[in-house]
Amino acid sequence: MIKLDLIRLFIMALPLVGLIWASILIADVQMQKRSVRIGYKLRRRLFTVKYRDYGLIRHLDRLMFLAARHYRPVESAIRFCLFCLLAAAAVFALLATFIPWQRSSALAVILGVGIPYLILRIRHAERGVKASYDLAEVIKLLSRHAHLPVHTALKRTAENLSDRSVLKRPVMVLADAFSSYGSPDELQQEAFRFASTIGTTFATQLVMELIHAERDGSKHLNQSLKFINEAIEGQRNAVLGVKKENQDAIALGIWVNLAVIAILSWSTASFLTWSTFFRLITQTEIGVTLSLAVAGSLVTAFFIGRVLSRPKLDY
Amino acid sequence: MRYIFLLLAAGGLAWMATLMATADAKIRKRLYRRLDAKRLADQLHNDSLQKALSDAGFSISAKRFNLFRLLIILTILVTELGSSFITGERSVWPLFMVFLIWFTTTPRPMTLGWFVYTKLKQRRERQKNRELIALIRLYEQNKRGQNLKLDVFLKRVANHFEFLGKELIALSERVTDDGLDNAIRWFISLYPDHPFAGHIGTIILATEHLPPTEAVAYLEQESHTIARISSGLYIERWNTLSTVATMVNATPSFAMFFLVIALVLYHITSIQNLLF
Repeated sequence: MIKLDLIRLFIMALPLVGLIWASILIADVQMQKRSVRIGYKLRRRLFTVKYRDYGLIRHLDRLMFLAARHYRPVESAIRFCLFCLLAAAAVFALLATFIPWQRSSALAVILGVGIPYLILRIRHAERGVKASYDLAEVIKLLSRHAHLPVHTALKRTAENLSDRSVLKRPVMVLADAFSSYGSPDELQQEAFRFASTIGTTFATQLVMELIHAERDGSKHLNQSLKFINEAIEGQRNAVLGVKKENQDAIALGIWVNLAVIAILSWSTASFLTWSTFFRLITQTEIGVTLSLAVAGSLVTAFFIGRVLSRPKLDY
Repeated sequence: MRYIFLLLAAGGLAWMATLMATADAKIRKRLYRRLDAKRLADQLHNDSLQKALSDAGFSISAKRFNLFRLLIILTILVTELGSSFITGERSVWPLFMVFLIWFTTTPRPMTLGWFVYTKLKQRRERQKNRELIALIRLYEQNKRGQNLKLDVFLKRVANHFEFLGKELIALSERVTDDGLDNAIRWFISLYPDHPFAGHIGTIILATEHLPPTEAVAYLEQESHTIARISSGLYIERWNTLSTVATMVNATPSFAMFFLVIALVLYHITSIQNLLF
């Protein structure tokens, strides 16, 4: 009897499922039609906006130029903005459902916008430092092709750069700008962008020389590139000297502090036993505040040490 | 609800008081003149803030910046104090936040805002230094190539420069109007206490009337000198920074020492309290 019941149930359910399926299909088709139309309208409206007029987008775009893995001119900046918005909304929703707290919106903004922006900034700073060293390589390669027109020389240079170089894509973009600019202003803007992403004296010098060569012929370009190269090498010596001077601070920040903390806590724990030590740290007011202070200053010292160990190749 | 009625009653009383006080046409006129929006906005202008903002490279006017600041402070005060008035809770949060906003945006010395403005100013000065170095290099290129006169050359290259552009155009105008010496003197006076701006001025004065080949040799030498000056400045800056950095980086170890001593003392005193 059960078997028969099941079959009857199945037969009854089949048209129901079919109905639901058909209605979903119809709804889906309708939705797709409408969504295509909505998408078309939205896209048309979104593409007519001049994003570069907004300072925020320009700022993010400048950061992304070096920091993004797959950079696209304005798109990656907009994508980053949308990601931040969604992340803030998601964090806010999570907080609102699980921890009903008054200031959860502020926390959501800090977590969803602040942390991605901080990561972006750190990546940009690190790659900027690397770019300032890679510029020396660019200048050396460029002086090999200096007899060619500027855009060809830049393109050849970009092709010859190693894949690990951070400047491969920026140099390629600069070459494109030199080969297909509509007006001098346009060229200048692109060149400034290149110089400001690296942000060193030598980058500014290089860009000026290139623009000058583009306008008045690249006859003397080789000589001035040689001069910049000399200046870079001289400054590299100075940077190395400074790094030697800062050795103490770097070592302190990166490992000495950690070693001191480990030894001290180990010796204290062997004197008081680990359980009392942890209880003293976590359950007394003075222990909590002081250990938080130690942790905070440890993180700052680490970052300072890292920054000092890689100074920018600049005046 | 009671509070809303109370507020409404207070507002109505205030309105009536103003109506009665300004019954005289003369007084009313004076009040309206006082309350003119433009006049009020002009009072927000502040010279020192304007100077700090423009030195730091912001293109916003001090009036607008002050208005913005004031709006934020007023919204914080109104929302927080209003909610605390209704709920009856008292807290120092809103006042602290207002203080924080004032502290981070004011150009008064020894505040966080002053620190930020000076840092931004230094950064901008460094960017200008970059362009000054590039200017002398371009000048050498000019001597090698077309050998244009200074004013023509400056006008030609001025818009290559992001930060110095306007000053270079002004300099070129002054060279044509006042002569080379006066113009260069003016340019140097723009940069008091600058490590090498005066040097650049004298270099241009010295080489402007030399024949190109001699000028190029001289300029090459001088560019090396300027590079050495900048390098020296860099080393000086980092050396002063390194002592501060060592001190800051040593704080975690000292804090850990302090923590251990404090914990041991705490432990001993608690055991003593248990025993006696």
